[in-house]
Amino acid sequence: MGLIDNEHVPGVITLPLRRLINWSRKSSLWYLLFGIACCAIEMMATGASRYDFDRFGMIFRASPRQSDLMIVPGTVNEKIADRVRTLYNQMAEPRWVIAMGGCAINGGPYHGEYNIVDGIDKVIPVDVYVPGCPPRPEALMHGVLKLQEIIANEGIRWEALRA
Amino acid sequence: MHWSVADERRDEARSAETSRRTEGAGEAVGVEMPAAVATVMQVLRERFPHLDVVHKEDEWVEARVAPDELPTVARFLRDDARLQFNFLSSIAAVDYVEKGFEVVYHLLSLPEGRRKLILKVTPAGDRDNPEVPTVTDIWPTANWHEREAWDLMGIRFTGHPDLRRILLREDWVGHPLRKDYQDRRPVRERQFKEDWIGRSG
Repeated sequence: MGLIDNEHVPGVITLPLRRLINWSRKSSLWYLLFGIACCAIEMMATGASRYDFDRFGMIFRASPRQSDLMIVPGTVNEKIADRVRTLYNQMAEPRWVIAMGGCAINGGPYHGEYNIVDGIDKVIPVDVYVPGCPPRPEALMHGVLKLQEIIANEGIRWEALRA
Repeated sequence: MHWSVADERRDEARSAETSRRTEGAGEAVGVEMPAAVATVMQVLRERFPHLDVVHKEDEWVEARVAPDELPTVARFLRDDARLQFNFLSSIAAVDYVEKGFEVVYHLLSLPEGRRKLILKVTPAGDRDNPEVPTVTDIWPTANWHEREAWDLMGIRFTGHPDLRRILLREDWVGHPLRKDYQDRRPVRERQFKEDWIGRSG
């Protein structure tokens, strides 16, 4: 059947398991219900009906245990940085992070202030940076599509799957 | 530029009217304003003759109070029937470096909204330990305001029920809004995903 027998069966596709897994991962990015500052308003707008994250299979989860994606929308101060790291640690792998807006990228307008962490990538690793102050929903969606590209081309940690 | 004598006359008439209006408005404000201001100044000077009470602008009366006298003055301001300063609008702390700190209380009388007072207190003690008695027992709202002033400016409010930091982390060193504050936080390195796979940090 399929490629092995060099035979085409209607309704059956053949593809590497890596691509299948990555396809399912990128098509159901559940993101953490989590907002730090004003960018969160824009993130909510992106999730709501007009821009509609649901069409990417993206729904928010109120628990980091069920989330694949953390969108960090807002200024990261010293106090919240520890909480963000805790939440990231509580997420199961594979997990991805989008730094949304100037503040989450490098402190933005608050760069160098006394209580500000200059970018969330100083606390947890970031996959996609979405610039803007705040980014429009289109920009955030573009960031999500970029992340989907990254996920589609990722390798699979087979040893982690076996364990 | 005027195109006719009639235009010119009309313009003159208009400008005269405008100036009359502004004068009238000015007088009206001028009459109303000192009434509230005068009451506050009179009552304060009567009860505390040694206090430095001035009227600088708008409806704000300013009074400079010694720290040890603050609780007495504050309680009087709140309880006196002629003043009724029942709302502490804000507490601010200022760092003048050479002149030291200053704590500023903005008071408002809700029964008579135009009655406003600024209390200025220069803390006792040196720069490492500036002290002002608390007013939490007089205006409970002062609780968080004073915690904020402690957190960011390092003013110690003696008698405060729970003088902890309110905005910054508990283990913060120093008070960042002081003019001589030095940022001594350790440098945070950029994180890379390769280091995080299969572990938490």
